[in-house]
Amino acid sequence: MIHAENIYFKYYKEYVLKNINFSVKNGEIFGIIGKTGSGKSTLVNILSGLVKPDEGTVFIDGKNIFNKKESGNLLSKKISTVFQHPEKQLFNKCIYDDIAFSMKNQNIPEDIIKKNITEVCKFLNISDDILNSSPFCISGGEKRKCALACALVTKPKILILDEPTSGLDAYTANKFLNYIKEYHNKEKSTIIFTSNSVGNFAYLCDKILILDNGEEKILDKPENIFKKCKELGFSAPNIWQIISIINSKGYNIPEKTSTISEMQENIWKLIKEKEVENKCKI
Amino acid sequence: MQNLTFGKYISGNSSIHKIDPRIKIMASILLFSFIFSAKNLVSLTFVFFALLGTVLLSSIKLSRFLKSLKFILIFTSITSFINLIFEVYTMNKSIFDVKYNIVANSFITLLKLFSLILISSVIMYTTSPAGISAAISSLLSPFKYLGLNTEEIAITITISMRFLPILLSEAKNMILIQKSRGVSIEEKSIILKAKALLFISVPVFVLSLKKAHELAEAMESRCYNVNSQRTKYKILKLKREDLVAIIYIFAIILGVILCNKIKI
Repeated sequence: MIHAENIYFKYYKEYVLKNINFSVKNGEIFGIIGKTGSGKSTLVNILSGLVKPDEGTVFIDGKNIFNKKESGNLLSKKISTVFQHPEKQLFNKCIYDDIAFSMKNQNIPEDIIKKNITEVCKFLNISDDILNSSPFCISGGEKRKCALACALVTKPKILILDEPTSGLDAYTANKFLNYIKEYHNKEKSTIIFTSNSVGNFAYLCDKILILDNGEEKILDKPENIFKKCKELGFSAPNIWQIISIINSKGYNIPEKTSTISEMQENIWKLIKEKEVENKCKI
Repeated sequence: MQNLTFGKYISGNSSIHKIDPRIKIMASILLFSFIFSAKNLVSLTFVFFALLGTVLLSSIKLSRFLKSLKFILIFTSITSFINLIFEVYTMNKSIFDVKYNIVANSFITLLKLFSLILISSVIMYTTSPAGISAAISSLLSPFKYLGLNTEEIAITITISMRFLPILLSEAKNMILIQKSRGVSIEEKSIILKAKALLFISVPVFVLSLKKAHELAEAMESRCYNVNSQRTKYKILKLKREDLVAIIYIFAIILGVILCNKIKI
């Protein structure tokens, strides 16, 4: 369990995070949403144990992560962070070395490194050609996938993603999302992500924290956040907007519908129900 | 690294901000040479306080300057200490025989370095990169007649100054990224520390090359040509504030010359 308590952080004399409090249960997906400059990335750095807050602290499974015993290498075994534009971090002579980098820093034996890399590459569809190529010779989407592999290869208990789909096209972003979804289903690890919009990611979450100018504006379930999107200054996901229009006409499509295929199924169900109703009337 | 503030322009409307960048650059060169020629503590203390006055006039928080000085303080303290040890050694006396002038010499070196940093900080904080570029280009213009491409030199200097803070912030980000991947920056062993630095410097170097390439493409897409005759949006002209600044600088120089003649 992750528990953030009274977090305050300032750059020079200006507070960028003020009194942030939340808890994330093990295996939950937690979204941090806020506009540019709202303090999302700073909060990610604090949750990763990389930056110490001016006040308050973060507990993981009851242990203060800023205690000397918990920090550094020990923490990197528990938490993996995918930063904004993570492709920047790739620098080794081949992708394999980059994926193995964090495990080598943790002194994990070579055979386990090989096994983990094979597994993660199979999971993310990274071919041997890409594994052996230089990180400077592959496409942006592939680089992002490899950066995700760098984070997943250690099988972290906690995965933190800072705006993971920024700069990606819709197709690649969707694919990326599916990998994270699958990984969560498989490993049941805790996932924290940040985003600047209440987009596709929001559906995956168990809880969402909306940050506004470094302050906690609202902490609630996604369905409740979607209802308040206008007040909060965000636009609700397209599927949610369509559902609310259809439901306002007296129909009842489940609010948890998150994908186009689920939407298709629900609409077919509605049509069939209507047909049955009409037949009964005749 | 957080305390490195070099190259960060802070916009403002103070009298120091309004001074012609050419005057600022020329004044800094003059002051640099006179600070180096300062012989005693009195002249350096005079320069230091005159510069502090400039800092206050710039209406930039003193804490900002102190932060850049804090970083240098450690460096200068070490060099002053080495200087002190060497002077004691060359005079062939024990450390307990340290006379007033040896300690004063170390203090003079410290004050000289502080003054130099204060001058460069004032210029960096109060002059926009575009202003510096225009000033360098204008000051170098006489060298055109010697066949030098002054425009090219000016743009090169401006771009390097512009990119310094960006690269520093990229380096800061890279430290966080590599820390999260298990690289320990706070290693005690020098070899491990050097290794950790390699993991940071290589990606930052690659990033800087990429940024340079992007900038070159952006400039080319806007038809930038070094050899073409360029017009200027803002033409530098001397104003009343500049004359006041010139008088102020010459007063400092005169003060240094007079203080140098004082025998302690």
